[in-house]
Amino acid sequence: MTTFVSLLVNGISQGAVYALIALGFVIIFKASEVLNFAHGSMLLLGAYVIARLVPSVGFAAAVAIGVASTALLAVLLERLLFSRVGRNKGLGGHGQVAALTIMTLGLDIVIVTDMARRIGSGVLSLDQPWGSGAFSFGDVAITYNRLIAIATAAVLILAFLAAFRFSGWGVALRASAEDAETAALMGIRRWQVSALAWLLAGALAAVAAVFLTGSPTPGLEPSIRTVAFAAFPAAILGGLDSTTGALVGGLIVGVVEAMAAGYSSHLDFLGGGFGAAVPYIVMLVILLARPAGLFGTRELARV
Amino acid sequence: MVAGSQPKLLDVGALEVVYAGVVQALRGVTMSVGAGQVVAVLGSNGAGKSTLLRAVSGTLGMHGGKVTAGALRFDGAELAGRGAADIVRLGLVHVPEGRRIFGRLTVEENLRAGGMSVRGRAARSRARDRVYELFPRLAERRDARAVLLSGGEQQMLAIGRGLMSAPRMLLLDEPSLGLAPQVIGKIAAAIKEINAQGVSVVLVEQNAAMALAISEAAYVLELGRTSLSGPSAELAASDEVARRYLAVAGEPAPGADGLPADDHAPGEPADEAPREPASPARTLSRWQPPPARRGLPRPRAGVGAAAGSGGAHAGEPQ
Repeated sequence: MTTFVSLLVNGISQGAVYALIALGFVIIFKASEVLNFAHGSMLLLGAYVIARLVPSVGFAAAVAIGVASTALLAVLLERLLFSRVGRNKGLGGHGQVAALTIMTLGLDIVIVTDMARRIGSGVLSLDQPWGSGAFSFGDVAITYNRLIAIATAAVLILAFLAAFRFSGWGVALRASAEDAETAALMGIRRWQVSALAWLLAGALAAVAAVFLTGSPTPGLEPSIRTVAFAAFPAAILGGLDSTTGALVGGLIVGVVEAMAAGYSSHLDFLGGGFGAAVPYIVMLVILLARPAGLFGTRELARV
Repeated sequence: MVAGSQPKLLDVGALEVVYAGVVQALRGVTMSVGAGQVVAVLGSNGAGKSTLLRAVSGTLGMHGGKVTAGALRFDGAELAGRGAADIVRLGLVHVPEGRRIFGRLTVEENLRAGGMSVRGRAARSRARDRVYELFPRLAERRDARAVLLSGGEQQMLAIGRGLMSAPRMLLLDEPSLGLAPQVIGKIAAAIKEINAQGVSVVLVEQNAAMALAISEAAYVLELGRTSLSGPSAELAASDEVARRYLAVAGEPAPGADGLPADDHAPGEPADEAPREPASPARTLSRWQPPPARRGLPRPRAGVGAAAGSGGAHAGEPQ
């Protein structure tokens, strides 16, 4: 039982971080119909900037600069690459979404390759001030990093969902996601809505990076991007166009992954390292039952 | 009454539009709308009515269309090359065909979306109050998801959403489409009320009877060209328009007084309009069920009431 509770809490923590990443993935898709598979590499870049700056400017300033530069990079990518291709009407709906998505994959490889070269074989530390200590509640232990991750993610996600629901930007985003032409006829400037979506998504990814590289993870390695990849099945199983789905999907993936890793001794017959495959298996099973994801309203066929 | 006697707000000169580089949809449309006017644009399917509105509102590009020749001016400003969202900021709003409300948003959120170009919270809430005053039914349903509204309510919402940016001119594309006669009467009354508050209106309609009844001037498009134009009353009385666009013998021809739906008394001729029978197949006044979009509920007659509580005593257009 103790193991179970411990795994549950740790899973929720990891899931909350996935939710941060998945939220960004979902709003980018809603705002500009791009499946941004470069999201993991944006996160990697944010972590790298923070790790490099920490020794000279301190943790808080490094995080602020890292978050800002990742957000800026996301907006630049949107303005310089994706919106230009998006404006090209020659491809038509499906072809265009496919082209944009492949572009993000290419971009992801470029950024990851460069990051791997810069980081090298070592492990960079982001030097989180909460260190690697753990909080024990009876026999259930959870690192401070993961506790703070839960709290931070909860605050950010709530703030984000509130903005999505109540702010002018949220209304404009939902309106243009539903009917871009009519939204333009109402005076909504889609590029502004979209730029803000990329900005927020980039910032959320960098925040997630801070916790993904914290204890119990040793620090920043290029493989962090693979971990971040688990947020994609989270977004998709939740429903690609649903912010609630991203949240729930993130938690499901986090918990299931933690369980699979924790009880891996019982799953030995499936081979070692099975935990990493679990998010994708969960996604497959959920999509079989609900092709639009748990909270999705749009058919995934459109993608 | 004569179109040329007022200062021009919208000027369309010899406009030509091509879709996908090959399909010529407009072959020279000329139209002008004065400040404070209601102008009707009539024509059959494919005549180019919606294309004309798209060209004016800057959304041709989203349909693969392009203006290849001609002039487009709103209040002196050149419209060609401006994006749709910028044209809204000039005070020109296009309410597209088929209502196109944001079904997943609430009524109130739809209105917020319509006012997105307006700076200042006070101005936005003034505009919203005005819309709720014009359509009290929308105020009652402000927290409902728009997809749950009846067809008539959705049309009110589409018009109200267009009014949120306090435009000087409203382009309405087939507001009567798929609505019951009674509801069309409410919409017509609302359009007159909107006009009485100082908004110029371009009304594209297949329902020629309604359009001619509430407009001052009208243009008839045929195969992408302006084939007829003039004061609405004259057009309504002309043989050709009556035969081709008003049709149906026994229906009172729309005069200067009374909306078609208000005193709908078949068999009681109201005036001396020509009464040549025409085959229903050639009738342009379509009264068909709503298009099956996203499983919208059919409009129930009677709901969507209240549109014209203010409109009923709106002055007739001079």
